[in-house]
Amino acid sequence: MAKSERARDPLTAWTLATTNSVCFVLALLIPSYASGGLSDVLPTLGTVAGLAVFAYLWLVVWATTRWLLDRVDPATASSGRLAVWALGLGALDGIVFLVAIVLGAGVATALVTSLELGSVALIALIGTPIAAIVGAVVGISAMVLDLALLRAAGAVVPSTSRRPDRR
Amino acid sequence: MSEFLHIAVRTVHVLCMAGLVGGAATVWLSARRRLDGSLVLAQTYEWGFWAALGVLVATGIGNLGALGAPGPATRWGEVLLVKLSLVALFVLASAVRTLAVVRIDAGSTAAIDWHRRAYGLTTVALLALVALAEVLAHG
Repeated sequence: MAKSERARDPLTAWTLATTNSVCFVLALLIPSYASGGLSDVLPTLGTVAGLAVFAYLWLVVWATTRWLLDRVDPATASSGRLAVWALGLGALDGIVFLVAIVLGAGVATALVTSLELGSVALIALIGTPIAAIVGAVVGISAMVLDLALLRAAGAVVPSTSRRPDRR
Repeated sequence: MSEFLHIAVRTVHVLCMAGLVGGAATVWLSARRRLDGSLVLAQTYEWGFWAALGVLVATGIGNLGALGAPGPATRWGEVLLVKLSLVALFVLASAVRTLAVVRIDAGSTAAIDWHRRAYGLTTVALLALVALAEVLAHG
């Protein structure tokens, strides 16, 4: 593998991970704001907490995208195999995201209020399968989006300048 | 503390946008003048582009919360919805651009022309988003 190729590959994972994270947030934000439900909720959320949650989401998505692209080539893998990976890693992302948020926010709340740690664990337990299902749906949606973006990129590259080792 | 934080978030938001516009214009100018290393410059820009874009979206939402955004039925709200929709389209188009940059052979002459068009378009799109942000900032 050429040095330039090694240097470029992580850029694909970085691009897709950031695109997926940003599109996920915008897909929640735009309909929420359009329906009028966000104007009251947004000011009540802490700025630092909001930035930390987004950074954590970004990190989780980047880590799984990088891990997947190191093992699976989207250009050659079958749709079925990609779908299985997308469902599995999407569910994993959902669980990792939820558990960290519930434990982080829940334990902090339990320390300063009357909320019991057992209640925090119960919320995490009940939320885990829901997070897995939501994560799997988001994962398969992200896979469809990523494949469309990769195909569009292949189509816009001038044929005379396309790298022979890239589709 | 809260006031300082909001100003810091707004400053980071503006600086990220300045970096995106300035970087895209620099790559466009470099490709237009066919300078050596302009394709390497483009790849370096793409790394920073996605980092800045993520921070830009996160701080943008932070700004919305801090400002107490008016409802969607207001003119301000309508402009915001247009801006957010254009941001979503811009993100998707930018992903196609970056993924194409990864696939382009740096030794090709057609690549320079492609970069000139792609980064020219990126600069114009970013300036349009800045103009919409100006409209929002002035109510």
